[in-house]
Amino acid sequence: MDFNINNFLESFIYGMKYFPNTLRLVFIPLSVGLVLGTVAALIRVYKVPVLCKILAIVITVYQGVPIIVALMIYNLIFMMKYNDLAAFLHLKGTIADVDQIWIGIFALSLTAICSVSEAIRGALLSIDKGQDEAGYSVGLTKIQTIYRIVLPQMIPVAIPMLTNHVVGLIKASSVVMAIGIIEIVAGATIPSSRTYSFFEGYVAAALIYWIFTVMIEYLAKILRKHTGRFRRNLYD
Amino acid sequence: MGKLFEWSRFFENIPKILPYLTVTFSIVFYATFFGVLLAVFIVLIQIKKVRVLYQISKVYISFMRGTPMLVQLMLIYYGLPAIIDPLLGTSINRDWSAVVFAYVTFILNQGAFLSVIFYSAVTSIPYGQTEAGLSVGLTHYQTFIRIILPQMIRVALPPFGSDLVGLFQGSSLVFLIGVTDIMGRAKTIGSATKHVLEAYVFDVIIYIIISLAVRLLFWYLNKRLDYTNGRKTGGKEGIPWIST
Amino acid sequence: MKRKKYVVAVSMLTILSVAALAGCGKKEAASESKVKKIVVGTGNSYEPYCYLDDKGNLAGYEYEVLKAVDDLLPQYEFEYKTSDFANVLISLDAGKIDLAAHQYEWNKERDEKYLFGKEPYTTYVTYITVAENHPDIKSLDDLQGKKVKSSAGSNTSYILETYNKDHKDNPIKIEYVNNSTDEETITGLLNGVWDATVMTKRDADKLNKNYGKTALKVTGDPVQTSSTYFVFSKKDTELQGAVDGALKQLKKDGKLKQLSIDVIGGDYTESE
Repeated sequence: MDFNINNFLESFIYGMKYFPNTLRLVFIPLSVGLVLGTVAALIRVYKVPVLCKILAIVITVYQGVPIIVALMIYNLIFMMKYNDLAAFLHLKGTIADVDQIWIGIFALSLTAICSVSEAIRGALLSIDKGQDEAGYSVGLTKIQTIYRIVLPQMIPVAIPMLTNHVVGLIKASSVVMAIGIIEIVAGATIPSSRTYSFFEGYVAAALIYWIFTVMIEYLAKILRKHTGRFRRNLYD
Repeated sequence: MGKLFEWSRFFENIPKILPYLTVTFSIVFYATFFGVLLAVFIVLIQIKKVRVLYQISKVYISFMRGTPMLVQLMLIYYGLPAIIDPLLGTSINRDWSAVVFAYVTFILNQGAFLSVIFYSAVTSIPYGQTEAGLSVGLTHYQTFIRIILPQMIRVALPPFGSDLVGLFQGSSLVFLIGVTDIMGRAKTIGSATKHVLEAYVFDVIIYIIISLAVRLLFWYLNKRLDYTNGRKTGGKEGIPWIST
Repeated sequence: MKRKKYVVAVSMLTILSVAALAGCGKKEAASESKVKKIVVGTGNSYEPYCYLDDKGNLAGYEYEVLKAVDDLLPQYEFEYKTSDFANVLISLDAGKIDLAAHQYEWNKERDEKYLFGKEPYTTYVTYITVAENHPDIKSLDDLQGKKVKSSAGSNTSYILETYNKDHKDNPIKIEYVNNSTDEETITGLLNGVWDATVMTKRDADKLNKNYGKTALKVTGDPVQTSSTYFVFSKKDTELQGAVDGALKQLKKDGKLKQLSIDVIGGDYTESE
């Protein structure tokens, strides 16, 4: 098998062209996940009645569903029911006017909420219960304790796992190609379908993803150093 | 257009899909077993900061974490023989069946991911613990085994469990290189019968059951290992596998 | 240094286990030296050409034809490897397979990279296919600016991309959907996710039949009138010659025609 550098470069350029799509597929779900996931984690760790049980069940069950199957099912339902829904809501336009990327964003957002909440919950649990008691003993309210004592300690612990999940999200975004949304992998293999140089296409896609995630990890590392500067840890 | 979902088709699919669960399990087994070994090896390199190997491990992890599984599968499936065969004079390109390439890919991938989890768990234990161990006269080795490791395992367990659940799901991609697992079977049923939704739904149920089982297992392990005075979650236990 | 030993032990164990794994994958060595093993690559989700049956075994027209070819060629023994469409030709490229069978139409770019058989074994006439309520589309020109479903590596993509090269001002929007199921295809076309796709009339009929109702129709003149061939790697002219010879034989004694009628449901070996 020969590696054709020209095909590789063409694939690389095509992949980069669709990079903004991947950005949308990652950062919109991530923002949704950070907000709702943190709320969900706090609800579960601080055992808000009823809600914590419901969330525990929903998140646990949903985490068992592979994103690819979830996506396929949402896509089928969306294709069949959108026109009815649009008519019901008196929206103008039909499914043909809707960018399919939103189905991908929807599916990835649900995944992000679950994974982010798990990461944050893990970090919250790593903080000694004594910290809560200490906060309570100096007269802080529960919210103040969380905000001033627990969260700042939790962040450096949560960052590696969160980074894991962000990177996971970046990669998971590639499955949306299955429903015809063009992101990095699908983009990089567009020229391949003409030249049959798929291997070069995959290498190009791998490279783009790699550069992207290395940047993300670098940022996360700086962030972790910054937020964890008061923790003593000689392994770092 | 026919009905999208029919229970009769759903039940017909069950005996067709179930046998392929062994493929999914074998991938997960190999990936976890050898992945843990690889991960421990990597973490040792990183903590000891072994020269050259340390840098290589960094690049390796970053690549494995930074690129989609789908792409890794393709690169290993097509690229590995292109490197190894001329080098060692073997012909794994044709001798290895697709599923072996799948094993290799998942082992390499899991090794990287688990090493991050383990490393993060080790470093989550404050160095004061080590100092405490040393100060009472334990050796470095004893301190690690008796003080750090038990705490570390407890920290690593939840992400390890999630990782395992993710691994089960990720294994569905092997279909693309021609290995038929439960997802692959669902798709092929879809193309043979024109109805794929029932098969997908059955897969979803299998994956949910597996993930609940894995969680139950990890909840149990977590409970067994709970000899720290760490953050307790209140007196009453909820539904066991959904530990809050 | 205890720790060093430990590191070494773990690494040895890892290497050993990988080696053991390698062993598992190895099939028994070729026992008969005279019969050459030929690995055939085909798809796993294109019914009725190549798909997996109830028991998960390869079935379909491609398989039946190749089995008949194999019977005529004592010097070769065929072994089958299935994967999804886009991966079959890459496998050929990578030397994992010797023969690719997936209703391959001839086109210039494929021809530059691979060796095509000379004997066609099915006709392949593709049409623009639209939902019933889409009367305005008759030709590729009507598709300018519209969304057309295709898949990576297909001849349809090649045709559409070639068309787009000459119509840069208002190109056809090609939507690459790989591994799509028939359910997705039909739902998407009916609800307007895509305006059209390109397929053979027999595939459109098959979709309609399976959904119990006429939902799709082929329209206008054929986009391309072509035949399908087996594809080989450039150096394998000997294998190509042998397979072509066997195909000729199968055509002469009417066996190919019979297979087409039995498996596809009509004689598609000469013309439509």
